Amino acid sequence: MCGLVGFLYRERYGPVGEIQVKMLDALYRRGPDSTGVAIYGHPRSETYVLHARIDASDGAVESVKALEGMKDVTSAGADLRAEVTWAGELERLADSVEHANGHIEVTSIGRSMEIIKDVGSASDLDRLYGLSQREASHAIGHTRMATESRVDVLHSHPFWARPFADIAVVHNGHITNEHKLKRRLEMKGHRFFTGNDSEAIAVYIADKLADGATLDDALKDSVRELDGTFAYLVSTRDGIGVARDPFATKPMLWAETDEFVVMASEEVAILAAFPDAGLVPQELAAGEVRWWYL
Amino acid sequence: MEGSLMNEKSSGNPGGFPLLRPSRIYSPEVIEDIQQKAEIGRYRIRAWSTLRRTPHLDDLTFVPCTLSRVPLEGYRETCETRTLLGARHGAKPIELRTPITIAGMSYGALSRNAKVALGTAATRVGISTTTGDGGMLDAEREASDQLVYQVLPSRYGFNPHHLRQANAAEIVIGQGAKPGTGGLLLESKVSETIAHQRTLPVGVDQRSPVRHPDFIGPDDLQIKIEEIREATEWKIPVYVKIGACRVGDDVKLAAKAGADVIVVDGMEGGTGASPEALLDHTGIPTLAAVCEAIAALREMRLEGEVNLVVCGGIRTGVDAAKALALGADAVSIGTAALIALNCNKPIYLEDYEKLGTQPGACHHCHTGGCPVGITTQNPELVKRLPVEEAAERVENFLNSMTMEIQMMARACGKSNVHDLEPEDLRALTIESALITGVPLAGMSTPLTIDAIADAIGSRLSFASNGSHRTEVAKQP
Amino acid sequence: MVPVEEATLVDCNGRSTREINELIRGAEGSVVVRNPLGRHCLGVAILKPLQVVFQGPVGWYCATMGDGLEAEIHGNCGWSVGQNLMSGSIVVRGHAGSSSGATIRGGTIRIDGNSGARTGISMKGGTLIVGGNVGYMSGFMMQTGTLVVCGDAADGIGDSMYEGRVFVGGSIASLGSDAVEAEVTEGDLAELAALNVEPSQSWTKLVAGRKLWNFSKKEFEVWKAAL
Repeated sequence: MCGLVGFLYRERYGPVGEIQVKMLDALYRRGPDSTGVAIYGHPRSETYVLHARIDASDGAVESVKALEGMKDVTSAGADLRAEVTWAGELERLADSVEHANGHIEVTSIGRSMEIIKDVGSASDLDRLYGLSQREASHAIGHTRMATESRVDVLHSHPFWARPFADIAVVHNGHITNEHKLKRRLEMKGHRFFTGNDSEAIAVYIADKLADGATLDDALKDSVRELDGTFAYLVSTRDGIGVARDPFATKPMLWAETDEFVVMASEEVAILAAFPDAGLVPQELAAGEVRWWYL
Repeated sequence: MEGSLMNEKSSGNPGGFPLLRPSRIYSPEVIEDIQQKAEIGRYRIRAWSTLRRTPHLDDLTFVPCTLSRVPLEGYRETCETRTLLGARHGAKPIELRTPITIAGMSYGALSRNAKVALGTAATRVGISTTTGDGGMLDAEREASDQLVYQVLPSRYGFNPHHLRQANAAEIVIGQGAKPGTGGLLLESKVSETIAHQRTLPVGVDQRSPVRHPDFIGPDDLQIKIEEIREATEWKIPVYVKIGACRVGDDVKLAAKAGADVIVVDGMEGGTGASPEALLDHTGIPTLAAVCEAIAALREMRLEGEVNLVVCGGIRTGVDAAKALALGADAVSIGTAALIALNCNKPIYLEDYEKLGTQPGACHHCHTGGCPVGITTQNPELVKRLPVEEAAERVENFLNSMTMEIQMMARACGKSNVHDLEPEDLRALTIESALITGVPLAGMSTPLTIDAIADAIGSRLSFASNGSHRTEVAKQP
Repeated sequence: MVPVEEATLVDCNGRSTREINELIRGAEGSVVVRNPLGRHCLGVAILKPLQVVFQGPVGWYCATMGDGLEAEIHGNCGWSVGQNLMSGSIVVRGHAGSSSGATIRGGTIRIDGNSGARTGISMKGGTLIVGGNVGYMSGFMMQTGTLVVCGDAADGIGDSMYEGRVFVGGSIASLGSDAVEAEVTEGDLAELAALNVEPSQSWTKLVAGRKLWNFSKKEFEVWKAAL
């Protein structure tokens, strides 16, 4: 159970990191356990940007640096960031990083998407990873109150739709047919790395997109095929989609101007970032989906 | 061939042993059930709780002091029973003179006399009572010194003035008898008075919603708890009551949402009316629930800060003592209190027969025809429960429970009932040993994964050292 | 409303919700609350005649459990505005979230804009007016009282009602379980006129068909959807 935020500049890059911090801080009460964002800066054409969760003391950084394709490997606290040249399946890249020495869990790979998540608040995220300094075109974010899986970074949102580049999901609610969906997707060859139901949404959407569906279709299918309670945001390299379950159990508001689109579980988050913009957010209807592109 | 016919029941076969051979699967009970449903076209409804035997506190026994520890004298050496609930956020806690409370039961499910008798007894003994799915009865507020006001999904009769008069608020997410579903009060009990209080037409089969109308998940619950605190100026404790399902997860969520007290109601918990299928096939036993709950609070380092009240099948002071030993701060009784009032008393026998039952097996509260005037709105029947005598019976029973709790505690060498620990218990069955982590009688190691892993681990390292073999070799 | 100069002013900035509510509760006559900025649980349990104006959008549980208050919200509100109102009035000059007017027992709530899912859920009296549209399952389990929707109603309007009445002025996506259309009488029209409401198209009146009031083995189709 959680708080969700989303933001997208229609035609530029801007202080999206700062906006995310303000919005997420306003929702802390919904999610005291952990905070995370998937933020999209300028896309690369030659390399991917990769993030992983590491144990800073056990030499993981050094062993990752030694891997094929690694250009620029840095770490801040328990987050490792690398620019990588890679041709071929991203699943193999993620696997090879995770098999390097030390305790390593890959949290995102993309041309522009970076997932930054940790236990604690948005202000903690800012302090540790400089989130408010980041410029981007769009981002989704999440504060977490753990329901049935563990409180640790791996089980925190956003979930990267591994191994699809640049796709992430944040979710509020509980998917009650999670295991059935995961088993079905596993039969298609997908893998799951956490006991978290929200991971199922990420892979579900990515699977649809990979099969050629539009974001619109994938979102609409999900409203029929996911069971339980949900409001979720999915972000791709080009945009953000949002869906709400057919019983309207979890809150989701949105507002747009010519310049940007903003979404959040509660109006207080939108007001925290835009107190004077005169926005009048609306609730997403039961079973409604929306999407916006850059 | 002739030998195999020996057991066939057949007239004229002098060697045949007349034997009915009912199926265990399609038993007489099941046959009756299917045929009833073939008549009524819906699920069966009844009261009380599951009729099944479940892994229960009965499967545990105490190991009092003998040589290794010193027991306390029953007559002179004090054994403190005082219990405070709900101080986590600075509210005035509920103060119980003994760690027992009367559980939420509605005026509607219960008669006015029953509610007043329970309140009167509770005040004399120094404990609390709880309202139910219909709101506060003025007479109960007058009779009961400490009243816990329930906030239920139906909000029947919900009144902010009553909330502010209460000593605690209890947000009910569900109950052990029928978790995942809402309250039920059948036609004959939706009298003029009850209907008026609940703003319903007279004589409907009232089905309460399962979800609260103004919030849905645990993240919303946090805001609802804040609202209740603001409404009561932070003066009273806020409880959250859950039916025992995914107890570990739910207790953590309730604690995170801000509950001061968490009430966990196991599958043996009773109710005035429920679909039968829910009673027998939902929820987990109280024995398991109390252990999961306290483990969750320990994991969050909130044991002692968030209070735990356990209910569902608590029948005696011994049950209560065991629940305390396992980690509860207090227990709540519902069915046991009604039985003390006179439920299932062998009087008015012809009226039990009219309901199709007998004392000792009556769980027909839902019919509204309670022969002893407890779970009925029929004034002629309610007269059979004069308040003063009924209150005295409940008071006596509560006192007997307190004496039993103290007796167990003293025998285990405790001067305070809250010092009872899981280590004072042993399990009598493998199931209860696995469920509770209490060692099986005759063993000293608990049957928990950690303990087994440790034991295996230490033997492996011991063996690989070779020291054991050396020792054996040295012996003559 | 009393002019602003004579009202007690409460600025939410820098104050805890508890402090804000203490100040509101301690005021007499009228209160203006500034900078609510989406805060939850403002104006809870105001149990005396008091005028309260919230100058800006508020969060969840605004002006709930009131008895005698007159509240105005100049902006949107979150979920459950005016929940369990006993008497008095609340006006929302904006949109409302889900569960608006949940379990109200008296008084009047008016929402100028749209209201979300489960508007008027479990109403036990009172009048709830929505100038715009209402969301999924509005009027669910209404016991008594009147829900007036000037605009459109989403799926499930008036599901499982007892003695409540729903008037919808626009289109209806689908009726809830046991909701049936009833004739709009002269008396109804007079009542609606007195409430100062206009339908976006024309009024449809919904009441309970009463098929779910008692367990029955008949009408399985109706019961299938109910528990």
